[in-house]
Amino acid sequence: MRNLNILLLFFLVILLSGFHIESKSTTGDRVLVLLDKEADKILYKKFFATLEKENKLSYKLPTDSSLDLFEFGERKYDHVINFAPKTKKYVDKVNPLSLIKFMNSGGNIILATTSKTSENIRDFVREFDIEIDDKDTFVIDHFNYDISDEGKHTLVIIDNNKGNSDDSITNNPAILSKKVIEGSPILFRGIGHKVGSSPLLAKILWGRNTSYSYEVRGEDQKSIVDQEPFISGNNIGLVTALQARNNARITLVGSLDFFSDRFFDSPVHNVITSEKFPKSGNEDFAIDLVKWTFQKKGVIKVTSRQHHKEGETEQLETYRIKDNITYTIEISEYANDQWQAFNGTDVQFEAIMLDPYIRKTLTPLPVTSSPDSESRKFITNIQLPDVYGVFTFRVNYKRPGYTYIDDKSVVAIRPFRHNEYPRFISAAYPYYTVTASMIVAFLTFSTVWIFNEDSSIKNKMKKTN
Amino acid sequence: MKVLGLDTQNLSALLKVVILGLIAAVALASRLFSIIRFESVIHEFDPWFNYRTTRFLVANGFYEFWNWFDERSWYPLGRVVGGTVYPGLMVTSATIYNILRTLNFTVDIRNICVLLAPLFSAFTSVAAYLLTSEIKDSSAGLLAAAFIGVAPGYISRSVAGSYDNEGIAIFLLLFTFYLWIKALKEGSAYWGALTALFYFYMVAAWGGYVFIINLIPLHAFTLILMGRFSSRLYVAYSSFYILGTLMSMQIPFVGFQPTRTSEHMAALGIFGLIQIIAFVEFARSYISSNQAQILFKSFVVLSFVGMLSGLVLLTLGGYIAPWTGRFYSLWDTGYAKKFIPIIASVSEHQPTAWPSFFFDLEMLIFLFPAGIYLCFKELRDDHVFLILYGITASYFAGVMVRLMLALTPVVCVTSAIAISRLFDIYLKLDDTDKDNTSAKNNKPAIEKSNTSAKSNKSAIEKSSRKGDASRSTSSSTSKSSEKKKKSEQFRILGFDTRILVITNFFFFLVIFTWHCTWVTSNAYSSPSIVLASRQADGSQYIIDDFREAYYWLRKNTDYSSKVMSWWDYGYQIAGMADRAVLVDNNTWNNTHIATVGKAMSSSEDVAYQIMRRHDVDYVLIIFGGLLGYSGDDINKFLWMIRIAEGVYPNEVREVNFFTPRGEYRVDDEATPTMRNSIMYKMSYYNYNELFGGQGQDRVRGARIPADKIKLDTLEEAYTTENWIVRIYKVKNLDNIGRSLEQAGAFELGKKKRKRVKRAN
Repeated sequence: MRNLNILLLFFLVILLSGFHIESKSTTGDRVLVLLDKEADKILYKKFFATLEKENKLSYKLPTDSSLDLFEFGERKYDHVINFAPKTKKYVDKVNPLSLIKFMNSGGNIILATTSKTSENIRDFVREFDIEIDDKDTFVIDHFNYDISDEGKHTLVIIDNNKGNSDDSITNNPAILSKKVIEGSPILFRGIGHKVGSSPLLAKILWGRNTSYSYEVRGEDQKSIVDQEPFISGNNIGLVTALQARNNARITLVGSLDFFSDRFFDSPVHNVITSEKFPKSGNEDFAIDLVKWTFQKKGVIKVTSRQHHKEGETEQLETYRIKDNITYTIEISEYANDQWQAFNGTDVQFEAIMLDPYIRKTLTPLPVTSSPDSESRKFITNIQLPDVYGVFTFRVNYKRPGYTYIDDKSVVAIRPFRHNEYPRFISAAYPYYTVTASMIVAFLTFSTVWIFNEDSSIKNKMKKTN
Repeated sequence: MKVLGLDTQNLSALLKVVILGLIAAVALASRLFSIIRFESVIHEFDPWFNYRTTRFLVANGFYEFWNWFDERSWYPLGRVVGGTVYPGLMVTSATIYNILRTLNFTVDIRNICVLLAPLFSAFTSVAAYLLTSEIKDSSAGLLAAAFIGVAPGYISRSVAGSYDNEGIAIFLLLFTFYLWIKALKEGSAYWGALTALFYFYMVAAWGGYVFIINLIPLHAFTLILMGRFSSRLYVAYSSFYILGTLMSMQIPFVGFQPTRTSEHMAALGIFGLIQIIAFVEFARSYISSNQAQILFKSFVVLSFVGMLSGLVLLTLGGYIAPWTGRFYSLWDTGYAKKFIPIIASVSEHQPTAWPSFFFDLEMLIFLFPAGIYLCFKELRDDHVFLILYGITASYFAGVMVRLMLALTPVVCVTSAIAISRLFDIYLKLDDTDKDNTSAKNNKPAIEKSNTSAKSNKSAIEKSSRKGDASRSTSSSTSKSSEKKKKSEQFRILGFDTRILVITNFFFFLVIFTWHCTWVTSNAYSSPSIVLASRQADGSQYIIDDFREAYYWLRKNTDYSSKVMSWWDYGYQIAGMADRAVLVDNNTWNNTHIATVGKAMSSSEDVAYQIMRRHDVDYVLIIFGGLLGYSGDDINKFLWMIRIAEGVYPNEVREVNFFTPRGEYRVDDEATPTMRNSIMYKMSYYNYNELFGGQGQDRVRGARIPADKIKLDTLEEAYTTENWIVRIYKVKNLDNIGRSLEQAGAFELGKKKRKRVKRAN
């Protein structure tokens, strides 16, 4: 009896712990943290503490020769946090080439830069079509700086989203939660970058209209703006993300201080507008950024897909032209640490043979009664085109912030079989009549011919015989 | 005189059967070189499609075959195989297969396919025997059978493994002609219907049936013009045309063509004409005035003119399809090159070079005119047919290499007539001692002609009035029989003269067989998917790169992969590698082929777009530079460019591939367009590295430019032992959104260009 109790308890514990798994990433929880110096760890204590709740962090210097992102060809880490922008020379195992290989095999990266960012990092981000501004430049805003700024106006305040044209923060719910978008302003001190035109890039935080990026000299020197800044205003990228085609994510944050405990805890006091907030929005923002980058949110997937003739259930590989078919796809989204029904309404279906012949928005069905339903069905009824060939049924759903869905199923659409045409055509009735009357006439004629004795023939036969 | 208890008549019949059987055996056996040399394997290109469809037919039954929509060729368009194929060949082998199965002979379908053409060539020799015996006599028939059995012109398309439509079609062609001659002679609807039946089989088997449906009306028309219209012609032609046309329309690929296209209009027109003439003849027998005669004649001429102009009007109105390009290219050999490069690009559609006439027919080509001359001397209805066949076929054979095949039978038949005539004269051993066999052989023939002449006369007498034409006919036949008698009187008596001529011809015949065997074994027995060469020590060295590559595709790529290659290899890839292809040897969609041509002749960027759009996973090319295999893609490249230019004249230009001096080069002087085309890049990718310097192209005798060829959108997946087949994999889009060129440069350690620093 006691044994049984222990056993039950044991199961209960397992069950509970199963339920209790916290915000687990859909890809993994092994994180490599690269730091310029061991001592830097203390600066970002709070940030790392939040991470350590859910992940296994290993701290390394990029000069550590034992460092390797791969082991036996497999990824050793699921995510990399690169807080070492100043180190000039990385070991080969974490050079830009390896980091891109790491992403190509599905790893995610958070990269923070400062005004002292090394050429190494610049080369790396250039591959993503991002150009970091020159060394020693800062993002400067004379109209939105915090009271604790040291006189150069480089500690800028990025306001929360007010729905203005002047917004400098994305309102994409897939990346940032409502709390962050509408929460306290964000403190930023660091370098800006120029965001290229690659369609895979998504801007998350960018400079305000009044900001510009320029070189800041030492205390004593006055910096005169005598040249067109490389980037200014809305064109300054502060936080930019790229989601690769294999859904691996990289987030570039222009400020390393952004993650520091000092910024996390600092109150915000805008000198010009004298707006005050007890605590900056940096911590919440950072958490969301990590969540998104580590694939804990904004992740959607296809759980099942089916197509069949209307009124049937069997999925066929070959349909006939002009068949009516039903196409269903189930999509679930990873949110709040579990898979749940995806709420999008703009999922489209395409039937493609070189060009799309049909493009139709799928109707989302209400989630079935059971609350633990993990996905939502999207459904449509279509009539296949009157063209035979090999068609690709494709759902190509690519929205910023969400992982990509590109679901393809290839079916052949064949022409009518020989016995699928109408047997009798009304237009052809005259011909049927002609044929029938011809048959009758032929038979009659032959009968008459055979049974009618012709004397002349008889005579002839006699002659020849 | 009795031998083995048989009298001479039976004995000669027995001998004929034995000889014919031996000829058939020789015909079959001499086609087996390829199996002995290589193995029992399907040859070349088209046979692979036929083989694949036959397997499908055997596995899935006739109705599935009939409705087969093949989604694995012409990706993504697909091909309606049932409606675009001449099913005769497949159905024939499937029938043989099923019969053998029911008899519990579990033969592999492949072996049936491999041996089908030799089997039917044995039948062909029998058909040639029947046809020639009908026209001359059985000894000429035996000669014709022997000739057709070994003539290289026919063997070239019917060796074991050459599983193509022509393999059975030549038998059907000859047999249909035999039945037509028979029907015309007998004037019987029964034989006419049989002609129609075999015509139907021919329609089911080969597109060359158009030759029959034009030649027979031409024969009928010529006979009418010669004033030889008779009720026999009427019965034979009408029964053949009506039944044949109705039956031919049952083949889905033919469908309504017999009523819709110009190719079939001659037959229809003659059918109408013959009805009118028959009616006029009938009416003439009741009315006798001279004015009425003129009226009738003008009625016939007018209706003929009326029908012709009606045909022209209907063609202009679009109700009747005009002649297809393939037919125009028969009249104007330059036509295809100008307007339809896809037809001109096929080597077998090129005009024939004169040596190949001798190569394929040897001495028969010299005897052919002699045979035609002998036909003119007698000029019975069947001789007219033979003359017409000879003239048209020799014209077509001169225009297209491939139609040598249609010429070969008539050459064999006419030369057999010529030689047998020669032997008739020179081999009569003893005219004083009348040799029984020869007398008996000749007598029935003479009697027959006499009786036929008689019956002709009586028929003519019966119809009270007769035209001058028919009178002249009867006189000509009687004249010819007189001539025959005369010529029989001319006997060569001198023993030495005979010996001289006969030894000579015996020598010729031996040389002929020698030549045929040599040609068969050396030129026509290579399967072309396996190449053979000699090593220094004389031993055979097999080059098996094609199958190596196809097997690699089959085993190492995903089943749903799509392979892009030039259309020549489509059937083989589908058959051997079992992978979906973009284009194949059934060149039904010129645009699709031109798209592939454009991809091959464009730069990487353009080609990559096309390949992505068509979901291409692998690109397969043939490269002969290392081995000196001249049938490779670089040599075919100009055709790809031409075909692509026909559809995309603004994007592909042939001029850009020629040097300023108008040369087609691959070495240092090659034009930039040439060097940037992916075909060039794929062919010579890593080629210099093989030589450790500048590569040497052994086909074009050129040195390849020394600079390294860079491929960004494709990566080499496989290259066969002798580099004949090279397979490239199409890369995916770059994962982080760069262009593949940039990604490639990055992999090589090249950094992106930095922006210019701000001057301080």
